[in-house]
Amino acid sequence: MRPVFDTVYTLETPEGAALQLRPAGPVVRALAWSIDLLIRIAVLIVIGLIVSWLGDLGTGIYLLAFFLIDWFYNVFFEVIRGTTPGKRKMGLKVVHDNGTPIGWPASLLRNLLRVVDFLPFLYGLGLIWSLFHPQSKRLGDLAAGTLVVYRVEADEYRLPAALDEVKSQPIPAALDYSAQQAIIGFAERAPRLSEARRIELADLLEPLHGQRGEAAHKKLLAYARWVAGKA
Amino acid sequence: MKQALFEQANASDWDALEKMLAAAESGKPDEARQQLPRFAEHYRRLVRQHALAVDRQYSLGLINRLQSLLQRSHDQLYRRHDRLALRIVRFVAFGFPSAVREHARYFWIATLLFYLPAIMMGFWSFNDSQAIHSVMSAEDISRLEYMYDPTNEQVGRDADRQSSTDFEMLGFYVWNNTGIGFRAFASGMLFGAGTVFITSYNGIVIGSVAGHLSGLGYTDTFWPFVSGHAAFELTAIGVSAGAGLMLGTALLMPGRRRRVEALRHAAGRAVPLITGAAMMFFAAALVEAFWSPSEMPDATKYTVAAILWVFVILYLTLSGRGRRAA
Repeated sequence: MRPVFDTVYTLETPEGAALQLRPAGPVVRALAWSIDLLIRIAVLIVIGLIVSWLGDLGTGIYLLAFFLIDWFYNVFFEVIRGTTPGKRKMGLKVVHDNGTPIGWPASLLRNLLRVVDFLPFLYGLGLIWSLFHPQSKRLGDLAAGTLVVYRVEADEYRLPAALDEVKSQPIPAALDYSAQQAIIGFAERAPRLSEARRIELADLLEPLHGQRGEAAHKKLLAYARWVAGKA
Repeated sequence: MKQALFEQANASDWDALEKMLAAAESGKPDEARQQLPRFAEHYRRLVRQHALAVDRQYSLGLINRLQSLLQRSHDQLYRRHDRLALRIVRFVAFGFPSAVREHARYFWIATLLFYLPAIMMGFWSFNDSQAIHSVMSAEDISRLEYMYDPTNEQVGRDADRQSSTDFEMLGFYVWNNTGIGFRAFASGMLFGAGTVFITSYNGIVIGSVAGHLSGLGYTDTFWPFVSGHAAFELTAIGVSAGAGLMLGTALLMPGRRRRVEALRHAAGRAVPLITGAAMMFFAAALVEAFWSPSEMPDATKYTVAAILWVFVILYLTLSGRGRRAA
């Protein structure tokens, strides 16, 4: 694969598939954790209300539920669904270092070790560690050999709604990754540029599309839709 | 080949794969299994098509779509489909005891870290009724004395929990004791220091309590109550702390591996230990909640305690012997 200047982590599997994993940074993971925390609190409140009329039996059930949710909420969802509800909301999933879906042992490990990542308070150690780690691993991920990565959306490239009526046109030449990125970048920013600037930039690519002026601008937008895989 | 032609030629492949993945992801195993022979073939083709698309610099949108199919297929291919119940039975029967024996060294060190301070504090507190003040607040001590006072109707429970049912105590014991075990394990990541601290500290407190209460002459309330679950509980402490020491040792003395590699290696092997320890903590909580407070004669309680010790020892030393560790 060509070198890419972002956090993409390319893994070649034995069957020759090049998996491109995008490790998630601390901020998006903290947001996912907060969503999970809210869900956990809500579930415990509901359980508390339900068992409140069971008296002491209810207290026992509540404590057991608290124990299970406190320690195993993440393990359960990561192993059964590949991701927790909060991570799913943020578009994340947990995988082994080799890209395979996470299993019981690794999930148990990374979640028990939250105790250490949480130190001295609110994931202080985990934050510091993941800031310095190239794949944003916290200590639990390090020991368990796991990664938190973005799920690949089939519809990754979203263009401004203003371009919806533009019809896509294939680019007549093969363009490499960064050139394609530049064309998408142009389409994303075009609505915010002045008309003169838009045309000035679009004219630069005259050798590619053979147009000048407004026609060049239109042509580039059509290319951008094609690059993004839109009709 | 132009991208449009490429897409046209392969669109039916991708649609078919998409359908298979949807069936597999929706958890319809029968439908997914039917298509299994064709899945591998489609997956291999997809791997090739993705590589071609990247190499020919086709549009990012297309490459991304294929990458998404690739990752979903990879997930399905490498998802474990074994029966969890069977794994649990195997683990309880062979896996856990084998793992404990394999790492017996850590278990014994952790056990010493617990028992040495416990025995020392026990003797001290037995002979000196003021000694316990160095580890507990006066309020905690009076609550403790109340719990095991022979005139207490519900031995082993403080004034707030006199009316508590056994089930409530089960919840409390599971939450509290297993939590301590998990923390003792996890804090092994602090180069073992956390594990050493938590284990010895618990040894100090428990030893002081036992010595203090025996010194007061509450032997007939305290020992029959705690003897029942001691076999499970004290062993579980040793196992979970031993697992924590494995993490600490890997970080302190990684041997010929890099520290991170040594940690990963040790952590993987510590998982069965901490899982089994959780199991034993749960067993201890069951005994402590339902058996310990029962009105049985002391002789019966001591006999049961002895039987449980023998059971735990035989289980950990013999079960799964001669099998390869699971």
